[in-house]
Amino acid sequence: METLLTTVIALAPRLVDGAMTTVAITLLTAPFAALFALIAGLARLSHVRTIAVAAVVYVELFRGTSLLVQLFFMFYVLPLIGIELSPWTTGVATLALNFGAYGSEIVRGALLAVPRGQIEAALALHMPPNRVLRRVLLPQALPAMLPPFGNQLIELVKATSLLSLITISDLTFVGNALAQTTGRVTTVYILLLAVYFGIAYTLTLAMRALERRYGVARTMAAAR
Amino acid sequence: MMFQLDYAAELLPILLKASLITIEATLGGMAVALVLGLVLALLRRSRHAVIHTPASALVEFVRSTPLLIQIFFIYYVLPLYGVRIPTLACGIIALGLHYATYTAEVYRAGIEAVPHGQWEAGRALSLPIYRIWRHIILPQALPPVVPALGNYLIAMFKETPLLAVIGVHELLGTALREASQTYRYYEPLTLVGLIFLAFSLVTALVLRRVEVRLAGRS
Amino acid sequence: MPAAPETAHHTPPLNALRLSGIGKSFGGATILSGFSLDVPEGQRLALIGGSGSGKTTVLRLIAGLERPDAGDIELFGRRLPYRRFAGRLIPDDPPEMRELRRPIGMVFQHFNLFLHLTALENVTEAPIHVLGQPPAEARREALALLDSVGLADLADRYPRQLSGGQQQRVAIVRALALRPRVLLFDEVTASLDPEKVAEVLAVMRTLATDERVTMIIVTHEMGFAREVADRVVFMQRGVIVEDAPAIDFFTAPRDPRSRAFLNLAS
Repeated sequence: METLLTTVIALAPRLVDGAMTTVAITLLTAPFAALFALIAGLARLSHVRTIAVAAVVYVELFRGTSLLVQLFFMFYVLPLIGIELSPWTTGVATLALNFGAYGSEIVRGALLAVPRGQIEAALALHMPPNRVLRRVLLPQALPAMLPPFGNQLIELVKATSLLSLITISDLTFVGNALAQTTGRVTTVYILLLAVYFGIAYTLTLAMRALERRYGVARTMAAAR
Repeated sequence: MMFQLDYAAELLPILLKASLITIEATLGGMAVALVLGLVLALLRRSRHAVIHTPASALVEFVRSTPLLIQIFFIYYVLPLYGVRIPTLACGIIALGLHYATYTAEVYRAGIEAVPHGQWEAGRALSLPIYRIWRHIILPQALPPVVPALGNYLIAMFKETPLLAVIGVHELLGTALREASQTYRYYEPLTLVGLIFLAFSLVTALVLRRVEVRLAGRS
Repeated sequence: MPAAPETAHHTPPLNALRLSGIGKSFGGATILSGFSLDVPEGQRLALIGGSGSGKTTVLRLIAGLERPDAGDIELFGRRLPYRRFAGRLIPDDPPEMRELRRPIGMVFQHFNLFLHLTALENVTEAPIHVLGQPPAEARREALALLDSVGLADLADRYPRQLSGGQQQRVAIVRALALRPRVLLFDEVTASLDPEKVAEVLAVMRTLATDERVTMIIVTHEMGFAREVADRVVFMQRGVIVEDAPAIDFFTAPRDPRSRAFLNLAS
């Protein structure tokens, strides 16, 4: 038992480093993914056909192919056609584009769920379209987006593990290296799973707090 | 660097053959996920804490941790304890286990959507619990969730490339193997992307038709 | 709008609104075809008819919530600039269109208050951001308006915390805050509980005493229409069946279909 404990203590510093990297990738990617989701979700509802079609192509392209394939494509093929990006840029950009495509469906659904009468009332008050969007549509759609975006955030944490395959020393990368060098395969992988669970669970709690503050439950509680 | 069509043409049959492994992994994984997910959903509904607590914990844990590590775990750790499984089977178990935690949620939603009165009617007829589940609840709970399960089939299909990391020669693994021999990544990786895109679009169309048909029936 | 007395003497008063040759269909079903209607400034027009008569579509076309397939809409003598594009009419210049429509205010059957804003914020939103009124001034005027309909105490409530009648009164105030010259009422009492109908009608009755505002009222409340309207237009299947002064329409309807409708409605 003591040997297990000493192993864990010996492994801890490097695992913590890896975990910090994983958290950093997640927190760096999430805002970009949300931004792409918002842009693509709005673009799909555009009356301008070319904009809507461009958004559909983007979404289907990234949802239709596998994330790992996209990652390898960006990592191996882009440099060949003259686009040199660091592994970090490649990783974060691919994750953000991929999750943005999935997120756009959430944005679209939430916008479509805002009652038609809200938009009509805004138009009847002669509000210009961008104001209708910012002041009426988005504030009412955002609370509905929070829970599915929370789920996407957990999926994002899990997906960051793929960046270990394009040489980024995240938690998975560090874990694999430690498993090989120390030979304590079982301990290392169980620790890895536990740390990922810890990160995901913390983010779940954070998202729940956010939902309590801004979510549907609160906005509707005004009904009391 | 130009995309070489003749090299791509040479690769295409190899990759299409490899896509059979991808399909095998997907269908195998889905079979595991469908059965294991239902078991987990039923266990989570148990009245006994000793049953539903571990089932819920397992679902939460597996769902919140990366599939990639679960694949490594099954491939590297289980053999240390004498469990020897072929590589592809390792992949299928990992996919199936991971997605079982998603299908369990889908089943749960389906079961909860069956009106409570159906249970009461079953009990009022003094049917044994097994018969209530088998002949009253599940026949009503399952058809509505088929589209949601179908979406996870597509999602799982797109995660099969992860099996390349343990040496399963599915689409991506085969493409990488070919690329490492010719040092040309452009053609193999583009083809893999295109094949995935084609499969996804076709399955999405099929699923939509199934959905329409199911909606038409009810 | 006080018109100069000498011109008023010689020419008929300015039309607030003129619809000519309007066509509108939804997915193959023709709702209006060749529909024309003049509404002089200051008139209280009751637009009545059964469901599917096209009366609500007329209001929505005026408000710009629907686009006509054919025909012209004039507001205070100015033609709304639509142009034909790919076989349909689209606004030629959306900002100009909004500017021209600014004198129009609309109140809806389902209130459509912004659910995430308080009653006061609902009222001040457009004055501040469409008219560019200073926020403090907009708030002061909004509170005065809310007070005039007996809701000053509820200014900070959210729509879901208000009864249907209260919501509809806020919605009327919201439309008034833009100082409209034409007010459109679309079945504004139809989704209210019977005991809340009176409080909304009372507000509208007060509004109707202001001669400067043109009102077009789509309603099922025949008693109210009779009391408030100067003119009644009765529609059936997109066509005007009878167009008469309110007194004549309610006391001696000429068309048998009008008689049948009034018998059913009373």
